[in-house]
Order: sequence, then structure tokens, then C-alpha cells
Amino acid sequence: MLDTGGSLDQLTTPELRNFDPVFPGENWFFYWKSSPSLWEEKLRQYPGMGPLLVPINWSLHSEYPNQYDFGAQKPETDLHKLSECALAAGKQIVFLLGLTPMPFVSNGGIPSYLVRDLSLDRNQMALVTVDSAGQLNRMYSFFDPHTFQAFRKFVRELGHYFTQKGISFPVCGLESLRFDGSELVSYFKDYSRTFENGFNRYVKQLQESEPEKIQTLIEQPSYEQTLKQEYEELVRSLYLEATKEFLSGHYSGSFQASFIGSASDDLFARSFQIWENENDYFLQLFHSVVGQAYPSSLLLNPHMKQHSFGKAIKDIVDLPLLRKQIDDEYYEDDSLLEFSPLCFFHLVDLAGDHYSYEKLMSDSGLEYFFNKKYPWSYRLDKDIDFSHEDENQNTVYFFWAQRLNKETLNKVLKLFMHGHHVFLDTTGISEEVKRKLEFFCAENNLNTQKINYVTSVQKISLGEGSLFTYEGEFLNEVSLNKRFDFWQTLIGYLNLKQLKIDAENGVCFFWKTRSSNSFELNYQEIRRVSLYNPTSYKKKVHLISTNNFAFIRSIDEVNTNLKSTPIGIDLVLLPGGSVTLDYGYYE
Amino acid sequence: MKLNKVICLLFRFINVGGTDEGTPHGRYRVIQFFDETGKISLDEIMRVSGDRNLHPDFVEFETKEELTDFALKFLDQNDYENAYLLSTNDFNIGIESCHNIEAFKDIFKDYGTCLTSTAERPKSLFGKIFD
Repeated sequence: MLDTGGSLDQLTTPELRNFDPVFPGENWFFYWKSSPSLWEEKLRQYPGMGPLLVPINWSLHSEYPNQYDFGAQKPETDLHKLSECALAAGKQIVFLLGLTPMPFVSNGGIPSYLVRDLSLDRNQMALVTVDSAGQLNRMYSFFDPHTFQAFRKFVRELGHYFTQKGISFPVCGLESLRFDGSELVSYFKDYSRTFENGFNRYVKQLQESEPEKIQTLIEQPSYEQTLKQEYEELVRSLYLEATKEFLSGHYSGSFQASFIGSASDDLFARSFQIWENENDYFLQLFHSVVGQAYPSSLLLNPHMKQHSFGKAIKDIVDLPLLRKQIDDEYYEDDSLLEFSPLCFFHLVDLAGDHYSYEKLMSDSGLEYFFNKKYPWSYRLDKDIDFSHEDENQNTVYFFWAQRLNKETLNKVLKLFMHGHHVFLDTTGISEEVKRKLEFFCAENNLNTQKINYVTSVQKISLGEGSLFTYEGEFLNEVSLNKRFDFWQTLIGYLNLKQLKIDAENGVCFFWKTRSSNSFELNYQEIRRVSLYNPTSYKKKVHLISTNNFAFIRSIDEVNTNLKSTPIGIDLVLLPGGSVTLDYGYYE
Repeated sequence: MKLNKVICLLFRFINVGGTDEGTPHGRYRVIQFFDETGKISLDEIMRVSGDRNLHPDFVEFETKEELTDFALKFLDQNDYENAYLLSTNDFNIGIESCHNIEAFKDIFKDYGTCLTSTAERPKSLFGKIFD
């Protein structure tokens, strides 16, 4: 044996172990994947910032009906010890309780004694995910009454345990989201026989309690979708109410996480690795931010995160994004000086049926316009959120009148009166909403301009605010290019300032923004763009010099050549290359 | 030209007004259609299915025979060796016994229907997975 100064020479090449399944990424911590004796040490060594996300693994704590273990039998179920370890290591924890199947654990996290009917997607295909180790996790329906009853009992025990042990960390309800094409869909959504059986029971119940709904159903078969949506929301609320009831002091709101690589297409692509495509994951990452979910890459094989996608995850899934999900008011004052995703437009859904919403966006040409002119600089909101009010007076809102009623129209008008820009597609507007809108304009003697451009457009102004109404149904009848021109003209009125990027196909980029600090007083705002080349070819990008923007610096250059010219910045991104550029915005 | 390859087709029966698969109002919708290199494009499907009026978002057939004929035609025109046809019902049964990716790769072979091209050719790596 060679004397190597006290240590032994390794005869084989050491395996680089940079992936720890206990920390699969983006601040998640899987306590059941490590011995409790290592928890404190692991938590202490974790270099990430911000609170750790600790999903509660229901099946681990309840192996048999009506039996619950929080450390009495299996030490790895001791959540009190875990909390103590976190405190000792100086880490914050947010416990996440699955209010939907969780794609990263076996059976979606439900105990094996509840495994009955597979949850199905809209193509009647079982919901299955592949985890980072290549294991398949099947999801089971949350519409099974046995599952709900067992969930309720488990949450009651969990609540008692948290109170009894004085666990101080908050618990959020975890809504896991999957991708269906470009849509983000909750894992709660289910098209299985279990759902149908439950829905049939609901309809029977309605025959007695609300016969007028059944009458509508008989007259309009399409009303079934509305009732199904209603039933889904009802069951969803049962899970939420049980959580709030038994975890009252600990419950701290909901947490929406999307899981990259969870689409049905991904299941096949990942089975035959030849066509697993990093570019698809970029799209899922960006869609998550647009859909206001917390993106998670924990289902992906670690090798997928070694190049530009891994860099993008680190750049985009950062502390401000996490704080936004957990609604941490404590940090609110700092948030203006941290980069957050740039957002010019809020598209307000106001209905639960995401599939039809995506179609509206696509048919109107908005999706195409945004992708071309303002890629990923928009958000999809489920409801009207007045917290955006202070963000930026120039925020632009989009509404579809067919989804409005009198109350929601009032909120829309409030945004307009507060100086925001509002676009309203009047297709399918109800008489009630139409009259209310006309009355509002007449009552306030508002300045109204009408033009005919592709469709009949009306611009109503009040102070800084503007309200554009248009008939979206006519947009569907013209070519995509005409729809693009339509939006370009209308959005052009708003004089939004953004740098233009000419990038070759395959290059992905994402914008962020923050307020300027005391050292950057020449600027109102700092905009940051991160560019990635996930392809295996060299790609060129040109950032065109634009009024009101000054290039400040480039950071994190990886496999990138940068050249500054009078007309802009020329970049050559080599395969897997990435770079981040900061610009100052001034008026 | 593609040689010695296997294609996999996952389809779903859609009941349009009837109660069982025997109804003439049913449709067979293609959910997944891929070979070892990836998804097969709609353009390629249209080229084989001829003048059928395809929906822009999906491909459907009136009967299972039409679906099978299409798959066989696709095999022959593109020099594939085998096609595995699997319904979502059978997929859902098969998936219950798959615990990892390796087992999942066999789901089309174990639970699907195998169609063979008229020409016999040596097998590719992808083909060997299914044998």
C-alpha cells in the first residue's frame, strides 16, 4: 500500500455525486429519503437560500387504516424532530400537505390501502409520472369518498400532533400541477369512472336541492360541463376546508407547484431518451412562471439539469418566486430590489376551465402576438387581483366579457378608473353586463373613440386609464398575420418600452425586472435578460439598441461570445451556452 | 428512408352517442404515435392517410379496421417492420404492473396488438426492445 500521507489512494475514478435525492432541487426537502440522524447535518449543509419545502408524505405516516405514526414506530416519521433539526440548523421550513395527488411519490402520496381507481387525463389515459430515478408513480383519484374520509382523519391527527408538539412552522396546502400540452392542469382534475360516479351522485342530489339546474341540464346538454366544474370545485373545497379546520393555527394558504417533465408526452419521451428534449422543458418552465406556479424540476433526471436548462432553473426559480408563493409579508419591503419576472400583461381567466381559456387566447391571436413581441412577459390570473395595482400603473389587463358578470365588471371598471389599461373582448357579452357598461360610459360622460380595424374597436379614456373594447369573434376570421397587426397597432397606443431581441430558432430567453437602487439613480428600472442555447448548434442573437435603454453589464457568461456594437449587442451562444445581460431603463 | 423500425400507436375509443364499442357513432382517436426517433408528425400522417379530412388538432378514424388499415399502410409506405396498437383501456391495465421506465418500455408489446409489415427485415435496437 502506498503511503499517501495518511490517506488511501483511490484505485477507481471517484464518482461525482452532485445529486442528493433528499434535496431534489428548488428548495424541496424529502425527509423520508434520509435517516433522521442525518437531518440536522444535511439541513445545516444545504447552501440554498430561503425556506425549505417539506411535503408531508401521507402514505409514510399511515400504512394501515386509522393508524398514524409520527415518530412512535418509525423515526423517519417524526416531524417534530425534523422541526427541531431545522431550528438547530437555522433553517426555515414550510410543510406542504398535498391537496391533490403528488407526482413525486408513489401512488401520488395516498396510502396503499386507498389505492383503487387510477386518475385519468382527458384522453382517458392513466396519470403516471416518471421520477428522477426512473420509477413510475401512478396517481389515484381524489374523488373516491374513501380517500376523502381517510384524508380528513389523517389531517385531524396531523393537526393534533402539530398542536401537541408545538411545531411552529407553517403548513401550506400543496396543489400539484401537470402539463397537458402547454396547459397547466391540477393533478386534482380527473376524468375517471370514480369522478363520473361521484358526479352522478351529485346530479341526483341536485334533483332534490336545485331542480332548476337539472332542468337547464335537460334543455342544454352542454350545461353538464358547468355542473362538472361545480362538482369538482365542491370536492376540492371539502379537502381545503378539512385542512383549514384541523390545521387552523398552522395553515398558511395554498402553494401551487408545477412539475416539469410531468406531461403525458414526457412519459413517452423519457422512456425512449433519444427524443427527450431540453427545449420542451424550457417551455414548461416559462409556462409555469406565466401560470403563476412554482416550477419544480425534481422529476427530471439530474443529467437534464447539467447544462443550460439547469442554469435557467437556477436563474428563474429563485427566492422571490418562492416568497411570492408562500406570501411571505415579512420580506415584502425587500421585494422591489429583487429581480422578479417582467410582466406587462395580465390575462384574467375568471373561470376554471383552462382548456377553453387557452383556446380563447390562441383564437384571438394574443398568444402568437405575445410569443413574438413580448415572450413570457405576461401572466395568467385566475381572478382579478388588486395587489398588482401598485406594481405598475401601465399594467395591461385582458378580459373576456362572456366570463364577466355585474360584480366582476365592477372590478374591471375599478382597474380602468385607477389608471390601468384594460382590453375587453365583447364576444358573448350578456345583456346585463352590456347595459351596465353602457350606463357607466354615459353616466361618467367618458371620452369615447370608435374605429373599425379588423373589428369594431372602441377606446374609452379616463385620466391615465384606457378601456379598449373589441369583438374578438371577428379576429378568428382573419389570418394570424392580420391578428398580429391588430394587436401590434392597439398595444402600440400604450407605448410600452421593451428591447427587441433577434434570436435564431432554438434560443430561449427570459426577462426579469427590479427597481433601481441608490447606486443606479440614472435609471428607473433595471431589466435583466437571460439567454440560453439548449441546442447542439451554435446560435446567434442580436439585441437591438433601443431608446430609453442602456446596456450595463453581462454576467454569468458560459460558452458565449459577446460583442458590443453601436447598433446593439451581438452574441454567439455555443451549444449549452448561456449569458445574462442587465439593462438600465430611463425616461 | 426508414428501415427496420417499430412504430407505437396509442388510441382512444370515443363514444359519440352510443353505449359500447359496437356503436357506429364511435371514433378511434390517435393519442400517441411515435417511433424510436420521436413523435410522428401530422404531415407524415396526412401523407399516408391520403385525402381524409383531418382535424387540425388530432387524428380520428371511424372504425378500428380503418385504424388498423392506416397503421399497416404506414408500415409499408415508410418501411417499418412492426406496429404496436394499444388502446388507452389496455394502457391503463398495463400501467398497473409497470414500476419503472424499463418495464414501461414493454407496455406496447405486452398489452398491444402487433401488426407486421409484409416485408421481413433485420431488427434495429428499438425493434429488439420489443422482442
